[in-house]
Amino acid sequence: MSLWEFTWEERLDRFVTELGHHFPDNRVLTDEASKYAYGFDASIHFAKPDVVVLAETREEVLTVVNLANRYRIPLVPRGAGTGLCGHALAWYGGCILDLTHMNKIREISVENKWVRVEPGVVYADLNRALSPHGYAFPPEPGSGDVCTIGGMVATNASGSRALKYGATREHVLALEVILPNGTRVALGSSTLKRSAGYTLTHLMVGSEGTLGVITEVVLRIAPVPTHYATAVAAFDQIEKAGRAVERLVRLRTLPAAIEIMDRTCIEAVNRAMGLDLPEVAGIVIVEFDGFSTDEAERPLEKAKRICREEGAEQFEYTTDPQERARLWAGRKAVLPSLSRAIGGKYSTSLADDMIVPVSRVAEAVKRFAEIAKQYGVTIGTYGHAGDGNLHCKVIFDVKSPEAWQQAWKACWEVYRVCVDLGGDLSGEHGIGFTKAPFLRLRKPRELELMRAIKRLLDPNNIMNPGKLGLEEIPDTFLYKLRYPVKL
Amino acid sequence: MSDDEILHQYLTCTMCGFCRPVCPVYRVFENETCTPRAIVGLAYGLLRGELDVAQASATARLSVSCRACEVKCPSGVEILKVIRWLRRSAWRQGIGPEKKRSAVEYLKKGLSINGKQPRVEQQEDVEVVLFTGCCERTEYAVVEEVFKQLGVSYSVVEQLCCGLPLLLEGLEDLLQEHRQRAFSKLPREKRLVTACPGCAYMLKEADLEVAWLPRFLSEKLKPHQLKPVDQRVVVHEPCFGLRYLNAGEDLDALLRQIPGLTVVKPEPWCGAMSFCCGAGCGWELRQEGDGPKLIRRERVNQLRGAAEKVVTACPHCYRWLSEEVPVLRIEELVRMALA
Repeated sequence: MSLWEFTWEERLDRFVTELGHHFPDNRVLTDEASKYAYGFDASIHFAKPDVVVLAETREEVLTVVNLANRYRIPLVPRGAGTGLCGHALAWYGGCILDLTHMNKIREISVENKWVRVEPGVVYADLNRALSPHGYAFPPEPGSGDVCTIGGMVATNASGSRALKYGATREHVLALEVILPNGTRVALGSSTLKRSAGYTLTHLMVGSEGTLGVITEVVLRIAPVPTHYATAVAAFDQIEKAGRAVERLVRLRTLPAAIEIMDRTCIEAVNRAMGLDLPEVAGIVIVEFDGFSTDEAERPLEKAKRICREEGAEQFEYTTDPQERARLWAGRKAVLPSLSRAIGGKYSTSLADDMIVPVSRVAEAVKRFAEIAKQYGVTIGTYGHAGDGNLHCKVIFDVKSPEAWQQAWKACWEVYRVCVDLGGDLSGEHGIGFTKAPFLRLRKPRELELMRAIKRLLDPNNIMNPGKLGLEEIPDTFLYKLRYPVKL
Repeated sequence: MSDDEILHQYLTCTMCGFCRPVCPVYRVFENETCTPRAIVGLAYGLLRGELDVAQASATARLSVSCRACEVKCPSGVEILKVIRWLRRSAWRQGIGPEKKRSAVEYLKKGLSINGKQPRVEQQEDVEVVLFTGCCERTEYAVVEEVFKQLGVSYSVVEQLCCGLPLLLEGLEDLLQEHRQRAFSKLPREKRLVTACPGCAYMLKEADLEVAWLPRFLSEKLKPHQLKPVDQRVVVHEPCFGLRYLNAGEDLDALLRQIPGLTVVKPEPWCGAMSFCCGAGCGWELRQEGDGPKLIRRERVNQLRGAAEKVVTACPHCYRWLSEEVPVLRIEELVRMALA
């Protein structure tokens, strides 16, 4: 009997039965509660898998991939499920492959400046292990206490330090990947540079689980600075803050981070975290680091002068580690802090991660504010302004279909502005499902090439289907929402 | 909590997952279903009629009520309220462990959760009333000894439940009835002292004047009374003392008062993020399955990594951890210092 004589249910049934031959019961989950729980990630969507498998070894991953390929079951690799665009959801049902049990740090090689890890290692745990050596894996995503290295590689995640230290991609030296046909391939090498053909590691970074399952990662590590100086500049207009960012980036000593927050975000963080950031139109947080007091603090004078020249009402700085930690905890908590509901409105991860050229940051934030006004929604803007990476949260009545329609229109405008300014749809979160509709704003031939690569490596389209706009792009993200609204 | 309030909690939750690594239940079972954010999602499934009560409440019933998730949540989601709502829904359908069910039946009859008759000593001329909650009086033997050394006069109330089990199961109506019935037996206008942070929290919530033992001892001890205790201990800070009573500083203050004592904390699982021992003030030991034991193993590993001797300030944490590792009660350290 050929495979296609079986119905979907029969294939799924055989798939689950065979999984049962290879895994203990507590690592193949088919109960309703588990399927429901894995139907969520940090996105606006909800999509239930039919089965969840928790793999502990590369051999187990290989087994799952082979079975999924044999029975044509959609397979969704998943780390901690902190993605904001629905990458880790089983859009068409099928199997979620939970990789968080593959959490061993296999080797730390300080002399070669790399670390070799399994994909389920949590970012913060890795840096805790590297800390005694004085090293770290620097990208520092906001979800660093939770997110896994595999997820970071799959989405090319980064955070506030990407300005100086680069995103995840710049640190990936080698990968081990199980391809959809069950082939295990080692890509790249554990060397600090390389010129030996296509950089296939870079193809895998940001591929969102659509080309295979990452089972091992070799990451370049960097020495941890010993000194920091962190300043907060307050502006009465967000455009002024944007202009200051454009000039700060041009400093000869590159800041380790330049962050921006608008009034909506500042108020939310002060409320949620008990901070006392100045409640002005916008603040810029600029941080310098180094290996001496002089190295970290010397550039502050120039930074202060720039901010004052651009109209900063206040410029205060700290070198106290506790104060700095409190400030950064506040910055990282912007996203969830915005969710503390205001008058029946809730924060949603829409238009959440655009990137524009740094020289256009001021214009972008100004345009976002105009869009919010035009469509009657609240948009909180913050982000890693130093590399042009801006985040928005759209706050509205999520139970209202009309509000969703307005939010949808506002999102279109936000993305259109970013592309018009020479930017792109995502700086560090990826495309997933949520942003797939907006891919039509970008270069169509690039998308065609991506689709061709996908067909070549995954002809049966089992790996994380529905993501990255690799199939027919839907007109709207307004379905499979996790909210109580009928559209 | 009403259905609308549950929906509000769900909509407030961004599913960011910050609660995930701090949850002891997740750390031992290691799958997404056992995370606090999943509990919030499952509650929504029940609201929508997409899950039945047994399915939706499965993870909530595994909770040890340690509240680490709420402390960590930057969105301010009241996850414990969601857990209680799910547990209450389960109770209404007769779903729940027999050990908890029988305990609640005892409470309805005016007994302790162990089925014992409460005993209330009525003495007017005492300074304080020692409230043992569901603990046996023998577990307060060292406290009584220390009180005598310090010249504190006291009477004892035994086997009178503070109502915490009813709170943790979301049985609010029963809790109100229980409070009216049980607390009317307490001596009036006397300050209560209890070693159990869960009892201290519940008595405080009922507007009674109460001191958790570390605070009371801290107030009573005078520097000249204390001799050096040359020991190195790792402190297990009880969840209910820290995250319910918000009295972690009381325990720290008492430990600082003891001369010669070296106190270490098991970083990063200390202070506001102190890791639960799995006991959940004794009540969560009545749940089915191995969750509390697995959590205890995790906690013991954290504590052993920091120092040989463990000290704690909760009779339930003491009893539960003692099965696996030598533990000192805080009052034993005070007795050593007073020797």
